Amino acid sequence: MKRRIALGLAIATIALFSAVAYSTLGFQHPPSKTLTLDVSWARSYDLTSLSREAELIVKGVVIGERALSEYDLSFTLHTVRVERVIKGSLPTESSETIIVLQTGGQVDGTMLEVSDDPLMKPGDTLILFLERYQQGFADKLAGTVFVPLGGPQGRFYLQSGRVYSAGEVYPRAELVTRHLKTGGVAEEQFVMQVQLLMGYPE
Amino acid sequence: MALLATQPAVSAYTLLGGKWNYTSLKIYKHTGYPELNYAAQSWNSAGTKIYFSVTYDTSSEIAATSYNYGNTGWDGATTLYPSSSAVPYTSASVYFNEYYVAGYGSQKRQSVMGHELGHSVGLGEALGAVLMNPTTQGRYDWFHVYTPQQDDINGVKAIYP
Repeated sequence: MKRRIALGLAIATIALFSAVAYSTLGFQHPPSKTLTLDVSWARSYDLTSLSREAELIVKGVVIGERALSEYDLSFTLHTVRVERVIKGSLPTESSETIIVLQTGGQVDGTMLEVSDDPLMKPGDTLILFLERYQQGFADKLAGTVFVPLGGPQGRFYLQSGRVYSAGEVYPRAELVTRHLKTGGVAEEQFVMQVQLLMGYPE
Repeated sequence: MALLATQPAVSAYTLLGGKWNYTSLKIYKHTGYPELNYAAQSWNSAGTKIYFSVTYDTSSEIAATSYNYGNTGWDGATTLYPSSSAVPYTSASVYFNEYYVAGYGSQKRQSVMGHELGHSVGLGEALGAVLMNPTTQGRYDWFHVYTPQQDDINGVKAIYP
């Protein structure tokens, strides 16, 4: 009997820790169905236009995610812990974290993902070129929400201190980010280049 | 940007990997934009086997809607069921993002709608002066493409010979 109780307690403890891990990191159960969304991006960006037009440029780590659906499509709200502000300032209501909206997400067991804009994942360290999310269903979201400029074009991945465009990390994003290849430059060099381009005359 | 506009229009179609079992497809029009009809007509006259009929029949294979999704970065999107690589496709949903397309001129809007109809029959993205160029700025603002080009047509003919 005691052995059964101990086993039950062990299982309950594992389940509890698993649930905590899911809720804090945003991990979800594997989707039963995966659909892709093939999109037309409104804009083509290069590093100059990204640097000039971004309202906020930050280095941050994805620490959580929450999916929602709106008019037949799903979206993900990523919580990003900001480690460095390169341009702009964080919204007053938040101190260290911002919310970043991305098209695609897992709702009711179905994963929807934009074919050339893979979903950011908890643990990803990124440099994000952002603007405030506006119109659409912005009024249904609490606080200030940001979106990367041009989907995968507005985000760069940091790996071992080096910066890579989304297309250098995910081949399926390569076509739309072809003007943004970095070749894995050092973070400081990338940031200096962005800061230079921010003030570059039109 | 100027650099890209002066580059030769090199392109090569890509395919999503799936296809319909038939080539006459009805589009349920759930948007007020006439450019959806123009885009369908431009595909119909491109010399492929694909023929789109724009209808108000909710049982159509393809549903086309417009809605303001906000500044998500994309102005058009297509989902194919049961998947983009499936044979056969059973249905498709096409979305136009009002945040962007409402402010476009007629040809630019047609460019987005024609691009999404290309996805709806199994075409992927391609570079250069083609309808399947992945960005509206590249496709229309730089190359002024809003109807199927030879590379797009070759792609559709490869899927539906």
